[in-house]
Amino acid sequence: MGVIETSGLTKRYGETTAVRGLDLTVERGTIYGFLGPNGAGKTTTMRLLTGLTRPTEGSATVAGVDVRDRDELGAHIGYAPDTPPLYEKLTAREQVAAMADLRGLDPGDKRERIPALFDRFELDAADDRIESYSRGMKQKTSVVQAVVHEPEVVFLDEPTGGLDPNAARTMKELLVELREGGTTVFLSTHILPVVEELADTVGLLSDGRLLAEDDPAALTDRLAGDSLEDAFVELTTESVTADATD
Amino acid sequence: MADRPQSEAGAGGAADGGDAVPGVYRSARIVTRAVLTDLLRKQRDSPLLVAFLVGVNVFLAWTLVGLSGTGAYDFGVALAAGDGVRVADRVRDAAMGGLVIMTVMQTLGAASDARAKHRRVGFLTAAPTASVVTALLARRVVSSLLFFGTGVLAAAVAFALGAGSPASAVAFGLGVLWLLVAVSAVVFPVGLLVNWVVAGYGLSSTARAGLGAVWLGVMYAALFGRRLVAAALAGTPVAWVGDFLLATTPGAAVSPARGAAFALASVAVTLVAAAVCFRLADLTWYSNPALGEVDGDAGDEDPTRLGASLGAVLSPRTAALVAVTWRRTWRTPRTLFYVYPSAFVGVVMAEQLVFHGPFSAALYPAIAAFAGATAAGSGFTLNPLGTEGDALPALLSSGAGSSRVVRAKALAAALPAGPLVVGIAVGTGVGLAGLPPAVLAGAVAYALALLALATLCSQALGVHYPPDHEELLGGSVKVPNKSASAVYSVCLVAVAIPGFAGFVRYADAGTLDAVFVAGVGLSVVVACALAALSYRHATSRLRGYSVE
Repeated sequence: MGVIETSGLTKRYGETTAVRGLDLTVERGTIYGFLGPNGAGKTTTMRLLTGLTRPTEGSATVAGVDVRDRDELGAHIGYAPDTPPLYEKLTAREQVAAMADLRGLDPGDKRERIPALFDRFELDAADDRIESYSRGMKQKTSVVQAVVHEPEVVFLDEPTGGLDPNAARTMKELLVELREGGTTVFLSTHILPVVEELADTVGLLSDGRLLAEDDPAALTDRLAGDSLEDAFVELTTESVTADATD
Repeated sequence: MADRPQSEAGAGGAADGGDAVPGVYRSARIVTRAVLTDLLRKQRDSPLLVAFLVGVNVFLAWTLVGLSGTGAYDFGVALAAGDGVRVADRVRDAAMGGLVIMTVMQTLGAASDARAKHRRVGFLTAAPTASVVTALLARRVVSSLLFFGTGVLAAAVAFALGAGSPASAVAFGLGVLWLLVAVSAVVFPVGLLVNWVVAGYGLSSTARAGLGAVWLGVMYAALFGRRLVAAALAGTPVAWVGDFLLATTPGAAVSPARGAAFALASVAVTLVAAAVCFRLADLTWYSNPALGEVDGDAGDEDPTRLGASLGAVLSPRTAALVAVTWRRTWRTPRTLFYVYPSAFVGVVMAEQLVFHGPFSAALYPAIAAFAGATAAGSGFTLNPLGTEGDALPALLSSGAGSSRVVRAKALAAALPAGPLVVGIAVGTGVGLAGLPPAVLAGAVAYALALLALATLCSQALGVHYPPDHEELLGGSVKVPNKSASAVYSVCLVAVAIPGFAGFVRYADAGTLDAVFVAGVGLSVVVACALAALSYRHATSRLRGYSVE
């Protein structure tokens, strides 16, 4: 049984269907690259899996917890959405400490992990207010907040957005370490080389449907492309053409 | 101070006789058109705002015309009857009082226009400073005309009808409209200066909140003391405003020379004010603190100490939530924007009902309890989702639990407000009214029950409104939904009325009787029951809330 399991997961907003009958299984301790064009339903899927949005149909569990049970789910997951979910008037240290407290992190672990993560990301301004941060600094804080309690599953939406090359490299190293530590990383990004380099499995979403799922190399080979980017373009173009024909 | 004085380019261009001046004029027209279109569409697209504007205009027209007392029509009739001296004096007094009120209101508006920065920043990269200042000035003038224009014109027409002289409406109507324009321009530099002080000198959050309270106090004093201020100005050229407004009224005992002098002086003062605006904008808008918000030192408190103190009485998770709410509120006092009006209502009630009113000081505790509780629930608890801003997904996915979030928010409001409200109720009850212990106990129970209701009922209503439907107060903090505010106020008033009636009875009769006990008892029981229901509802609603 996967650490993330969905069956017929569907989300509708009025007449619009954002996610259509998604069946997904993500194995524990892997990095799952979740790809798709803009508006494909990636963010909605992440919100469904983190309990922030209720499914219209279907079911989903994360770490064995029904995603409808948001309060229970919170102890098992970390989430860094594309807009860093931070309180502008707090400092990064206050923000991460508060979230660690909410997750019930032991005070000793908190004292040890938070400075270590800040050091790792070279977040020297951890005691300045978040409102003074650049996009990249906010992104780092958001990711630190998502992983500080060492959750079973981490959902990251465009985690390298706004990061300088050094920080992006640190981020990639962290993802690998998380995987090695048994954490599952559910990664959504438009930066395909990152997925190609790190992901164990890639899922390609378009118009709310899962078009393909495989490991990056196999997916590229299957579509006779030179890279994951070629596969992405071919699959999503086919999908759009098919929809237009329908 | 001025890093980039753009308007000097325009001024320099004028001196050099170059092409810059037409550029400034043209860009001023473009920016003004855009700003006014934005203003008018926003007003037109909001049925609530349209209804509010119509209501204000109808009320003003009703009052100024004299449909519910002595007004412009009666002045006109008196004038036609040959009482020119008395009419001139009355119009002079009314105009002076109106001028004081307009000045205070406009100053308050100009100083507190938090969105002015956002409006101007977009234009400053494309247009000279003077153009943007002109547009913002035009915006303020049009806002004034929208609020007061119809009432003023109706009063002018009524005055002319009463006097039987259409010519009287000319100076009266156009004169007051011009005064609206002039006052808007004259106080605009004050607004710029206040914003400069607030943003430019990086006042602490506490100082800013204090400044807001001081402004409310000034407005209150001006409203009730306008006759005193007008009397103090009676011997100065400002009093010539009466001669100005009656300049085309036949038979009025006014001096045309003084009227003309006032008109010329007002034009001169307006032009000087506009010039001061351009200079002040250059001085303040381009200094770093004005464009980039400055706050107090981040390390102004020890976060671990605050959390530890709360942790002694609350569970660690609840303490963490309360500490975060306090810390953010301390640094973002605008979250408490809606607290001030409720507190202000309490001051007005005390002034109107007791200080200058018919009741004894025994009513003070009830006023403190009602106004204090309403104020306590009018801040972040009335907008429990919106005040979380971008961090809402993190909070909801943290596993904190919806019941804990609701409890923590209620506690964050009640822990500081409770001692304050109960303290004022007991303090006034003992110090000013000498209440017996039984009445004092009733006041404390009344205050605590209303506080519990306020902090929970506001959340139960607030969770029905998504956080993105109201305009920004600044940063990612959003104001409470107007409908939530209205229903919340009605609910608090309805529950508080029986108890308040009991205190009114006691303040009037001076004896403790069944009306007092029944009234206070009913309010306390209903408030506690509704508070419990509110808690359940807010918790359940938050548990099922979807971030869309």
